[in-house]
Amino acid sequence: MIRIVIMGGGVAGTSAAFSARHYDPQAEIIIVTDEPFPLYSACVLPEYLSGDIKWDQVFLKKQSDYVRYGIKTILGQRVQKIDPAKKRLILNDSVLNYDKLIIATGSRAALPNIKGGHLKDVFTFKTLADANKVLRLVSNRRESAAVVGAGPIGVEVAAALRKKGLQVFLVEIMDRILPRLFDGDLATLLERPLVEKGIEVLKGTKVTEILGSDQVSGIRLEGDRIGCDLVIFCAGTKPNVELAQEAGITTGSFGGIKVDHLMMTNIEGIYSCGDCSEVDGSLSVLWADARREGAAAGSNAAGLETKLTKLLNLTMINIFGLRAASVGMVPPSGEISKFDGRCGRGRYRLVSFKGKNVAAQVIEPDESAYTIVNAVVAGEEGATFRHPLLAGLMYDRRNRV
Amino acid sequence: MEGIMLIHPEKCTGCRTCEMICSFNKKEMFNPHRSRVRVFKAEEEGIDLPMMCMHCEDPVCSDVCPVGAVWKEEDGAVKQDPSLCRGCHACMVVCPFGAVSVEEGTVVKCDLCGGDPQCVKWCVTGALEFVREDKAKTKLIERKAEAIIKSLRGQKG
Repeated sequence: MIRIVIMGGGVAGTSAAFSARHYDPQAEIIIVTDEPFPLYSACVLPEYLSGDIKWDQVFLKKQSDYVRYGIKTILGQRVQKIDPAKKRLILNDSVLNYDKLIIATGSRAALPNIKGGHLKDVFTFKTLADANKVLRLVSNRRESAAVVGAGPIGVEVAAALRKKGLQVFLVEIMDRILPRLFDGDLATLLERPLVEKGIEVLKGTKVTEILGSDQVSGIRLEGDRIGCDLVIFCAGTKPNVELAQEAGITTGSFGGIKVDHLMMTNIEGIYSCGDCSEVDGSLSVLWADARREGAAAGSNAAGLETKLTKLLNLTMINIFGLRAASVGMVPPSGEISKFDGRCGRGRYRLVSFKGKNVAAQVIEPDESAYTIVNAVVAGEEGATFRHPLLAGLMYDRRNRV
Repeated sequence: MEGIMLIHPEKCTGCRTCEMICSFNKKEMFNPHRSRVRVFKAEEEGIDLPMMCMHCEDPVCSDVCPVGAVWKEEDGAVKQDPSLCRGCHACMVVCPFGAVSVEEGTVVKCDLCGGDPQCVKWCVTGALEFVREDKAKTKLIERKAEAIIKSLRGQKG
């Protein structure tokens, strides 16, 4: 009987555990995580903040689910050291031996090193604990908030705070919101509902200082200053790889743990998956990728040889009822051609590179627009779709009807 | 899942009784837009192809769902819980069969009528067949899928 130990209980770690159990009914499977909670959905935290969903709807697994599948959990414990020579983990007050180790330590929100960053009401928004802290303050007479970073999380958090009745400033360093997902003109369309609902969007500027002595009283932008009593940074993430690095596991150029197609690190028997791992020289922090990587790592730890099949980047966003989807990646340079079209009330843009569809950006999609996106997804080599041409056909058909 | 759906496109006449009976069974109305099976028609190639959830071996819809509203059962069926759905539509985007549609804000798809699919019962020509899963049948399904792709690829040049 082998013992598989998983560091991290996020979606990657948990799907690794359940997938390992699926392929090896006998193995002893242990999850060690510093989170005090069972698996919850990080994607719905902004909705939890706004009050659209309740506390118990955030969770995806109950403690009894782990018990039913014979997966042991050690919650609220941080691993101090990985000792690959003796195949053991050193915890606070105990030692845990392993045969196979899966590192799924995930990532943490980046907090830029600026003056005032240590103040009491400066937060990041990554974990359920973060969401709870913000929620407590919001219900406790906070009136205005600055959200730094207008990526999908930043936009959703800003919208959630606005729904709670706060005055909200959304600060973005680039010239548009959602800069990685949408082109300029489409981003402008998406900005409209935010502005209509009373969120102040400040683009092309960055926070240079957080003002206040004990509590936050405002932020200083380049040249400007605004008053607020809550600051939330949604400005990217950093992979948690320190323990792995100390243990001699190599990391790649993006700072993630380097793994091969079988999710194995440079040390035999140690796998990595999720936000902290780097596959094929790319570091993904998306939910679906973490889940797939976890499932592959778990089955491989259980003795299979599952190759990871990657998905395209897919982000769905809903801004005060205005839906948008972005799929794929626009190449930074080269022969890019763009095609704009309309679908029902909405509009879409297809981006092709060397004659192949590589990305789609859709605003207010109806069913036929999704099929367009689907055709993009299907056209990508290495995607996991079995009948790509069928999707292409449906795209044609629905488009003609 | 007691069986798997087997589609014979060469037997399908495109009568769309399956769409009718599906919407009637699920929503008590005869409305192809409310059907969870859709017949795709490729006129020039002479293909009528009924399509619905194929209960993929490795379902992408469950991977992308951020709230765990889609999952694969131990018996192989891909199931949805509409009460958990937050309506982000990610599963619609990734489904290679276009089998997921929206109904009253949440996503729905074929659930094989709990093991007794009505579309199969009412299919006059036998284009839809619900069979016990075994190796030979699976091979047949793979061959059929390949044939469909081949004919479409021919069309695409």
